[in-house]
This record gives sequence, structure tokens and C-alpha cells, in this order.
Amino acid sequence: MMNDMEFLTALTRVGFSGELQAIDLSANVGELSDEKINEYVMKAAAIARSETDKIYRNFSASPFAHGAVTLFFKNGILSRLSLSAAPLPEKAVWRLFSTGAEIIFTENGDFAEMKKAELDAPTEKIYKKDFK
Amino acid sequence: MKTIAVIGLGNRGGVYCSYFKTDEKVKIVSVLDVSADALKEAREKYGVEEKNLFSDEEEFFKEKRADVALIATLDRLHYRQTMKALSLGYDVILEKPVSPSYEECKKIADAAKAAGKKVIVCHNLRYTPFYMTMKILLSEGAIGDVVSFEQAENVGFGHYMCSFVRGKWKSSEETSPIILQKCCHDLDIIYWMIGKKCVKLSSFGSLGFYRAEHAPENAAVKCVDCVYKDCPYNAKYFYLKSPESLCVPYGFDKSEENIVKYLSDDDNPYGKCVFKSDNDVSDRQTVNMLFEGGITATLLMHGFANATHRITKIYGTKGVMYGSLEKGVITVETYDGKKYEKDVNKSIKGVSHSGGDERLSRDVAEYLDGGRKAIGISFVEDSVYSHKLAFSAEESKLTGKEIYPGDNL
Repeated sequence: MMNDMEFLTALTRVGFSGELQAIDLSANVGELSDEKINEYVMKAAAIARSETDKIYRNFSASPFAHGAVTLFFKNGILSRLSLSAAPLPEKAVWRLFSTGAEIIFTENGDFAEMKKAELDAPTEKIYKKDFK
Repeated sequence: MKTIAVIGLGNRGGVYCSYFKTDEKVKIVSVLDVSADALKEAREKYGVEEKNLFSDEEEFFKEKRADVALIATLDRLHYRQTMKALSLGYDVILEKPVSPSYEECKKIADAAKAAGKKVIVCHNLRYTPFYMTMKILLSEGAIGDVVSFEQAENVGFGHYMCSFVRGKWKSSEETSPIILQKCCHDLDIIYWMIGKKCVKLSSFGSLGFYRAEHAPENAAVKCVDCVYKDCPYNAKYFYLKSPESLCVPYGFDKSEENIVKYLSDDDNPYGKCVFKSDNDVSDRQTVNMLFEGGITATLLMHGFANATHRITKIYGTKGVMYGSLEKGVITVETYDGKKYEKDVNKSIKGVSHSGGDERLSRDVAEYLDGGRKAIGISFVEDSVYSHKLAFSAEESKLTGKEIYPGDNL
């Protein structure tokens, strides 16, 4: 079965969901280190299939580490990675917006939810185990 | 009861008037609009007397015609009309944005102060049960002090192409950049909730997709002539399925035949290919901000959602709250393990802007008539600061520089 990143990059391939335009991550992590921030930047770059053109980091340390990285990739995809280390369970939710669909996926989950860019499109569940 | 003179009875003006019509605290007594259809609407729908209908701005402003002026014209007319209204002694209800020029925003705030008059800006999101409940939860300390703010304005592709590719707000020069025109709501909500000044910000954005190079081969300029009949952006395909999305004059017959005729008109921008329009506003933009006290906030806006939906998440010192405006449910999780939901759907009245337009109209009418000041009411001096964030974001986007908005207006 695919891992999370393989699943996300497969879901955003052009033939499946159109051309990816925007990536939004909201994640609460146990420890918000530079290493963790870079890990998510690398994940976003993998999903965007592009190198970073512009990047802006804005973090504060108190009362817990929190902030965001905004990225503009060379292929025009825009990304916002919101990261916090609040005293709550770890959870990372990706929202991906393409010309053909919008996709929501929670890391370590079994499925993604997708709505196609059509009027009154239903929400479809796409399971990792079934996806090729 | 207060009397209202309406300047601009288009889409936004019409929405507010539809609520004012049924509110005994206010009465619409005069209308200025360049459109004969709008004046017909004023006469037939709101019962405004013929002698109080104006198509000429100079004639209208020769004397004061009501207690309050509702100004809901295109962005670039706001300054001139608001200054005239203030000089005649009107209180003003002003559709956002205040002006596409920051200097003009400040001058309006100064003029209102000098005249001792109120200029209430229509930040209708503040009046939605969703954001009003979030504001109340914050003031009650449900999540402690704000630590971090995540705001997403996921604009539906149908709304984006109607307003920002084909519609009135497609050109930064003619109206204003989308970060001001559309996102001044979001920046206002962020500023209103945080209640502190922004120390620095950075913004990225561009018009990346709705451009000529993305037009399919042999796509026609007008969608009615196009071989791509089921293109999701095809005006005929889209508006026949969703006629309520189409901007049309008052009294327009939305039969299939009439819609096709309307979209076939060479001069009608709503019938044009989204890749061959003369749009220039961004279809994606982020704003990454640091506020006083180390509070971080970000906004993401783009035009690629299935349907428009705003998502808000606020971390505090004691917990987090989050939800989608359109779903109307706020979830609160505290760091000591409590979790509960606030469903505000039962409080929503009126369909436009998730109940914000009706509540705004009622609250503003009550306040202007001498009643209570609801917590959502935003005077121009507050709005100028949240507008400043939008102007700063656009400057950052264009220059690539970090901007320091500072304390002052």
C-alpha cells in the first residue's frame, strides 16, 4: 500500500485531478523544530513537483511554537504550511486545490476526500488501498 | 425612524435594501443609479417616488435627501461620493472596500471625524453567526488569548470566474486588487479577532491559471461559439446549469433562450472564454503576518475550490477553535481535554454571506436609529487599519519585500 506522500502525489497527477494550483497544510506537531519545518517544506515541494521560487518563514516560540511557511514554487503553485506545537494530539491535514478537483487528506489516514470541479459535485472517498 | 438615500442599487445595494425594506427602523426614500433598470427597481420594489430617483450624480448631491447615505457603487467611486455625502451631513453606510487608495481611505476617516458623522463599513462577515460566535467565545476566554490564526478563503471556481475573470472585479486598475476587494473581509476578521497591530507581513501571489496560454487549442473567444461545449468554465454550460450565478439586469428573464442570447452579445463579458478575458487580478495569494505579542496569522486565498468555503482556525493559550463558515459549526478543543461544538446554523437568517448581510442590515438600522451598537459594527477608522494590511500585502506581492505596517493609520 502507498505511503502518505505517494498517495498525495498520485492524487494530484494531472490526469486525475487537473493541474494543481494551491497547497494548504494545517498541522499540529509534537515538536516544532527547524527539522520538522523543513520536512513539511520538502513534502510540499514533492506534491508541487517543483523547486521553491520564494519562501517566507514566520514563527514565534511562546507559549508554544507556532507559525507558518509560505511558498511560491517555480511552476506557480502557491503553498501555505501552518504549523503549531500546541498541547493537543498530532494531526496534519492537507488541502489540495487543482483545476479539476479539491482534495482533503489527513496524514496517517486511510482515505482522501475529493470534490471535482463541477457544480454540485458529490464528495468522493478515495481509499489508499484501492488506489493505483 | 431614519431615512436612507441609496447610491448604487446594484447587486450589493439591492441585498441591503431587500432587508431595509422590511425594517421599520429605516425607510428608503431616494435612489441614485446610472442604470434605468435600477431606477425601475427602486420605483417598483421599494416604492421610491419618481421625484426622488436620480441618474445624475450632480443633481442628486445638490441637496441632502435623507438621514443616511448607503453607498454601494464600484470601488473607485466610493471616495468622491462619500466625501460629498459627508459634506452634506449624511451618516454613511459604505460597501467595502472603503477605497482602492489608502490615502483616500484615510481622508474619508478624517472627514468623518471632522464632520462628526459615522461611516459604517459593510464588513458583513463580522455579522455572520459563525464569526460573531467566535468573537464571543474569544471574549469569554474559551481558548484564552490568541496565539495563532489560520484563515483560508477558498473561492469557488464558479464565483471566481463570474466576479474576478469576467465580472466587475476582474481588473485591479478599474476596481482594486483582489486582496483588497475580496480579502479585506478576511483581514478585517483577523484584525478584529486578534485586536492588535501587525508588526510585519509578507505576501506571495499571481494570476497563474486564467490566462491566454491555458486556453485549449482553437477555443473561441465567446463560449457560445466554442467547440468545448462541456468545458467546466464554458459560460453557456455553466450558467444554464447555474442561472442564479449569472449577473443580469433587474427583471431579466432567465429562460434558457434568453440566457443564450445574453451570453451571445459581443459586448457581454460574462459570455467570454475565461482564458481570453481582460482580467488581471491574482487567482492565488498568501499573506503571512506577525502581530504584536508574537501572534502569527496567515491568509490563503485562491479561486480553485469546488464551491466557496472559508476555513478558520484559531489557536489560543488555553485551546483551539476551528470551523468552516459555510458549515456553521465551531469546534472548541481545550488543552485540558474538553471538546465541544457550537452549531450556529439555527441562528442564520438570510442566505447571502452566511446570514451576514441580513444581520448587518438589521444591526446597522437599529444603531442608526439610536439603538444598541452591536459588536460587529465597524467604523471607518477600524476598517482603514485592516485595509492597510491589504495594501501592505499587495505592495509585498509586487515588490517581493517584507512590509512593516506599523501602528499608525
